[in-house]
Amino acid sequence: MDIENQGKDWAKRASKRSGQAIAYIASAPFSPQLAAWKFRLANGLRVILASREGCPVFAYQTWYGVGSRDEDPGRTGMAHFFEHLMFKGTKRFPTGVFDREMEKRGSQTNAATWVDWTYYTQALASSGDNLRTVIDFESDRMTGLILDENTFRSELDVVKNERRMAVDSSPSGELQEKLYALAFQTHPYQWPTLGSMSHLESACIDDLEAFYHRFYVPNNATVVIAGGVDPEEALSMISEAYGQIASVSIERRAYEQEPMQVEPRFAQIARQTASPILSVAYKSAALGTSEHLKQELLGELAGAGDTARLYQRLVLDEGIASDVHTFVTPFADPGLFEVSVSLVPDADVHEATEMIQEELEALAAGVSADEYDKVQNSTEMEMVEAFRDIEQLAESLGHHETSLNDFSRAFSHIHEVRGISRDQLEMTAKSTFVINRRTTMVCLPEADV
Amino acid sequence: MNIKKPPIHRIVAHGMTVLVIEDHSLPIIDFALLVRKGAGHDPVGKAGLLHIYLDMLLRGSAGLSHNEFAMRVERIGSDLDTAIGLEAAGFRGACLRQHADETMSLLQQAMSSPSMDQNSFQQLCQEYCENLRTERDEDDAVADLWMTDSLYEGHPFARGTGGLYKDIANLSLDDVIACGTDFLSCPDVVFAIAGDVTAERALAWSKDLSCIFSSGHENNRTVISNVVMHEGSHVCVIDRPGRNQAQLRLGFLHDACMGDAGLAFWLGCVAFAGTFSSPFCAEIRDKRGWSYTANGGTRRWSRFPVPLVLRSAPKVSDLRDCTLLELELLKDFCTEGPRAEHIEAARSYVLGRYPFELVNGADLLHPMIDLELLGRPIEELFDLPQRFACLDVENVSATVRDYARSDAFVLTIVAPRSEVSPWIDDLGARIAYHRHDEGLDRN
Repeated sequence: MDIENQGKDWAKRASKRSGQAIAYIASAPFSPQLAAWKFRLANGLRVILASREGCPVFAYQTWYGVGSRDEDPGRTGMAHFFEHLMFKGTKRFPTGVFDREMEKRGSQTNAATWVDWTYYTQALASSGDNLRTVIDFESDRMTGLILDENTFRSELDVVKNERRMAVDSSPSGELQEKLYALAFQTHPYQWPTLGSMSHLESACIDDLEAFYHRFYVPNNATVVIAGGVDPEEALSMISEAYGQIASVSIERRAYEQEPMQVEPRFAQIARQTASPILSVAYKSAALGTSEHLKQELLGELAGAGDTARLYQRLVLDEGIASDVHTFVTPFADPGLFEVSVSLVPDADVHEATEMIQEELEALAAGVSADEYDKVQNSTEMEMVEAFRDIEQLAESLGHHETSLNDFSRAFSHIHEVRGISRDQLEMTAKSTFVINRRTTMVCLPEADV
Repeated sequence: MNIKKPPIHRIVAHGMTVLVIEDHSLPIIDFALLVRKGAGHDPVGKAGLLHIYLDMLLRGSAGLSHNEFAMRVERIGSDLDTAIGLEAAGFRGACLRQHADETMSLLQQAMSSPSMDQNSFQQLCQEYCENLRTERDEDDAVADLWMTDSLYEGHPFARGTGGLYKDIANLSLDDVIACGTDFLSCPDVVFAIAGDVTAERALAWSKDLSCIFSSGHENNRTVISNVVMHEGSHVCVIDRPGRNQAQLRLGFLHDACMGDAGLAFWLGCVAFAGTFSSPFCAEIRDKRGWSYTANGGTRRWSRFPVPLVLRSAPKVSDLRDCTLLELELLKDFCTEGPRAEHIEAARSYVLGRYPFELVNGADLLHPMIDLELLGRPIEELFDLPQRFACLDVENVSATVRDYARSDAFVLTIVAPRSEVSPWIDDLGARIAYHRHDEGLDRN
């Protein structure tokens, strides 16, 4: 049976078994051993299955289409704070029961929030009633969460401490936060997912309860299961547990897209650092576009490995930096192509910025055959490495489904990369690394200011 | 489980041990080539030497420049990097099946005919020194550095694996070349491969690689001095002016790190601080909200004493109360042992987690190497569920009481000194104050 008919067959059998309608939506192969299928319940809940026969474990993730971009500008940090509160008690399971039950079965519960999404993850052995149990807990907390003043207060302190650690006590964390605030002047990506301390301090239970009822609904969620499960049984259990939860019309805050940046931006801070830290960013395309993929490959050429152009120039040739990284944001809306540099103590940040500009512009003048092979092969290698880990596999599927409404992009990535020519990379370099769309943030050692 | 055949354990020329784990589920191969000689063997005054030697092997060989060699590796999408531990070091990497022959050939080339170019060496030393500077920017890294230094005070393990700034600045290329001669004559070499590979192919590669190790001989086995477990408690305060949050590390060295005592102690530590539901996390994080991170743990196997370390990061105004509570919890753990219900919860967690250790060949690679380098049978890895299931609750608690050393705790705090000094003397421990950038000469 081909994978499409396989998916239809599972949906049909699971619908009959559970008495709930389950629609087969799509399927996508990655290799002879790995494929994924998408289904939808009547209430809008999406289910992605990547079943691996014989695998002794599975990952269970619940993705919600809500992140910091959905927050009120005067109440930042709510999506992340709420993620923490989701581990508190429900009507059925008092505080602590969920963590204890998952740990008893070998899983550490975890979650993550970013600009476009929030997700919750567990990984368990395929044996016994582990799948049924995790479905029971996750479906329960989609509707049954109870917030009380004590847990709210102690968790607020935890979240504030997380912010102190990641930003207030970390020069590179603070620099990153300020870079986004400078690069985005309209779009919600300008504020940090961790939120501002003053907004956290003014958070109240009522706001968070409203947030919960608004976004934690089945038609805003995707369940992803990867690993050793029986697909028909898994679909049947999911539809039984989630099928009765009503869908809710989601009102999202409207926001404007970031206008075209027309001049370079620059700012600096002074902190307790041994050496200057430099962040240079250019506007990047949205995830899922061909331009974004090309920018990711350019990021690899500029910043990954010992042959990376920026490492060669700044670290080896000029000796003005000890480390260089590049990162292209995988955001649903246009984001940033970032270059992060640890400079040596006496380095001139403006000179370093101009060298970065020169090297990135040089990508437009030509990408060598070796470099082209490098990005093609390293992309394939990264994907194979990631997909043997069921949690990373589930994460890639959930991220693409939640951000693009298309899980299959997790698998088609490699084919899209194979279709990109050297000429196309050069053209994207030319249109991306434009000085007028550059934002530069510098953190200087306090002693030097 | 994707691994269809049991692990193969073979010996080839020059005493090299070869471990092959066949897993054909994906077209990828992971590998590691490790020698039982690590950063802990670096001579006094030359901390970082072995790591620099290994990195120099990747900076050009057989007529290829650093960039040319790196491009050969990166062009085929392979990973090839140094692996440095306190007791063992070498290389680790991964490649796609179709590029395995070329990757192994590059590894052999790097090890057998390195360029050892003076300019590359100077550049590398500069990069090391700059990395040592910048890691001091993050308070959690500073806390970890000083905690290790305080726990292993006076022992080579106190230096960690990254080397010391003053030592690296004084190294010469001759030091590095001599280090290489010594490294390649070590008798204990393990080559481990996991993934889409056959035993025959792996053995062919190992034959080529084993030739590089010229004269493995028992006499070339360097011994690391015994770790002395100091008496009394020690507080190390690293002054970080202006911070509103502290980094806190609390722990002690113990020598329950082999056999059933090692497993029992490790399980006791999981029961105490290894999960979100453990009492340490519950008291510090969940009940009081004092820290985002609140966890702790120790190593399961080691030939030398290892630390139990508790980690947290309270805001400065909670630092005193948090420290006192952590000390109280630690004392209770050491004197009473973990509670039966916590041990049972930890056992259940560990047994539930065990299947994740065997999903892919790559998951098995490093635990198997660890056991091999410890001289333990690899089969121990597969016996773990039975051994954990058989541990008696009272025995676990008693093992913790026997080996724990709450009267010899080490406490490391990164915070403004002015916030710590008014109350820290009350702990009755030896106290040392340091600057966060101590040991780094900015000029």
